[in-house]
Amino acid sequence: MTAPTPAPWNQHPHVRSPAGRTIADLLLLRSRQQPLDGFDAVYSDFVDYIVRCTHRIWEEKDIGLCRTHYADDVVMHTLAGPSRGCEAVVQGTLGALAAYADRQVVAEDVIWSEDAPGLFYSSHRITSRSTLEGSDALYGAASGAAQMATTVADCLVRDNRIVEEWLYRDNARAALQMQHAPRAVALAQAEADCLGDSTRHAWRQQWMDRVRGAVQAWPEAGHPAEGPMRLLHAAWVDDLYGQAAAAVSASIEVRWPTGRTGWGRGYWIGCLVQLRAQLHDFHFTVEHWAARPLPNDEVAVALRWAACGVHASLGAWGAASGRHILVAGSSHYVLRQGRIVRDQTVFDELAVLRQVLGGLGANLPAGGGQ
Amino acid sequence: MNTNTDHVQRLLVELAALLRGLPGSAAPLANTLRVQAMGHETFGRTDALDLFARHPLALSDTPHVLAGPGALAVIDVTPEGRTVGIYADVVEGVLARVWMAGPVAVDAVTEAAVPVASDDFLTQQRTVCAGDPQDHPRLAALAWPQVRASAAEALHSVRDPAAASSSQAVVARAFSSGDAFAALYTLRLQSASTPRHAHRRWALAVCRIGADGALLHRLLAVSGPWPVPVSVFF
Repeated sequence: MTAPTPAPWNQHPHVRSPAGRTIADLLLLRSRQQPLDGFDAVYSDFVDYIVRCTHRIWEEKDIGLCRTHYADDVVMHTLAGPSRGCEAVVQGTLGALAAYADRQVVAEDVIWSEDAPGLFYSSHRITSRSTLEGSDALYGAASGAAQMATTVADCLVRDNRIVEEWLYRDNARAALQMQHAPRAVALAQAEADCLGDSTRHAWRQQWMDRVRGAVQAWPEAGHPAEGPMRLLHAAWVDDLYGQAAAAVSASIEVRWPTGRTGWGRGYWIGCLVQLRAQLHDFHFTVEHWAARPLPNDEVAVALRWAACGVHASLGAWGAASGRHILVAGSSHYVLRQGRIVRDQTVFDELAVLRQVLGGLGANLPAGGGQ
Repeated sequence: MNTNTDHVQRLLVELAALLRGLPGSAAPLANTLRVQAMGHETFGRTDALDLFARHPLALSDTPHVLAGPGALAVIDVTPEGRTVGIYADVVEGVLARVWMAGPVAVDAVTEAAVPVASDDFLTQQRTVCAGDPQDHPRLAALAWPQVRASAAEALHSVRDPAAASSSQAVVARAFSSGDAFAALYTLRLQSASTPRHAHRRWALAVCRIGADGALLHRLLAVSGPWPVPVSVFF
């Protein structure tokens, strides 16, 4: 049996990215613009589905719509562990809005693919502003502190329902914005992780095993994601950073977690090397790719990736812990003339610190949680 | 320059409304509008309007304007005599991103960040201008030497005692329109002192060149020094 052939990456070019559009344009109701069998009639196309259902749930506060937009047995993967079931999504959304009612979920981009007929995949980059006016489990009582963190939510969608989601948020940046030291927050989480049944952390070891055993699949020839994937492999698998950077724009704009922002090939290399230098016995794989046209003849590429290694060198995460560390994230690239002019990478560095400090099962032998 | 079309005039009106931070402005701003101006970076149209409401900038009646497909560049002089450059990405008639090369506000702050060790040059054969005309398809090839020359001029114009050999301008945006071009630069200036602190500025050049590529006229705006992010150490 052969795998279903994905639809061309640039099918339905009239289905536009949210990049550069006004909020009035994004919220305008339109007739159906692409075949979406099984989707609610209110959605004109797949980008509209992602942007509008997020708006309806988070901003219009119809949280119960999660029950018609998530599968009952949905699994939501994060670097802090998975959650399972639609009701967990409902409860999590209620809790977030009870603390941060004014959350504006600004869609920066929706990079999507149709991986099999009727099976859609979206990589939704969001930067959301919110104010702590309620009570937050991590950051305490109402303080008026504001967050503006970037998230990438990758969703597998069929028949109007998200059946699996990978959610990566720049949580260390959010901690700093809330006036909390990321290390202190991560330490408290790690200490709590070390209590109770350690098998709840087994997911992390299983994910690392998958990364170590992965045989990289590649996009079909001509797919825009192939170039960025080869660059990341040249950098993180072959350690040929200069060769990788030579193929990106000399003017590349780089935005990485926890405020890392810079321009140029040297800065791009710096971000990649900083992560890689801390992790020995490094393994890396791209788990999913997608691409879509952007305005002004540019192309957006989304890569969902995971990496793991032994934290054996001093670096941004502090002194070497000797622990096995999993990093999973998403990189959104803008390509102009086939070269990367922008790299926005998101991973949860707070969850990385939590592992460095022994949380999420990283304190167990060989990093396991069995 | 080409300020005569309705399209450009409309964009200019919308930009002027944004820069004045007019609440409830009808200007069609991208929901994802990102602004880097006066030492602040904002994301989202509401935060952009809030920024300019705190620090309004009124364009003069005669700004120098250059428009191209997907971009708008403006050089103006404030009533205080300060040259200010504004560059905007435009998507289907909507202002999508704005930079200002001008004064830095007293309340300017750059978000804390994990420091990243980076080599801007990747060679001992250092150049003051990083960029490649291939990445700027709307820039006439003839203009590239003057884009580089303007980068050098922008660095030279900064009177701080920077280490010339370790400071660099990256061409962030560039386009041509007729015999003119605009180029937006991000400057990273490293001090010659020890320790070697670095800071960032923005610069905008709008130039006219002759048929042989020679520079006929240059307007240049360079921002004040942007605040250096507080380093995050885990």
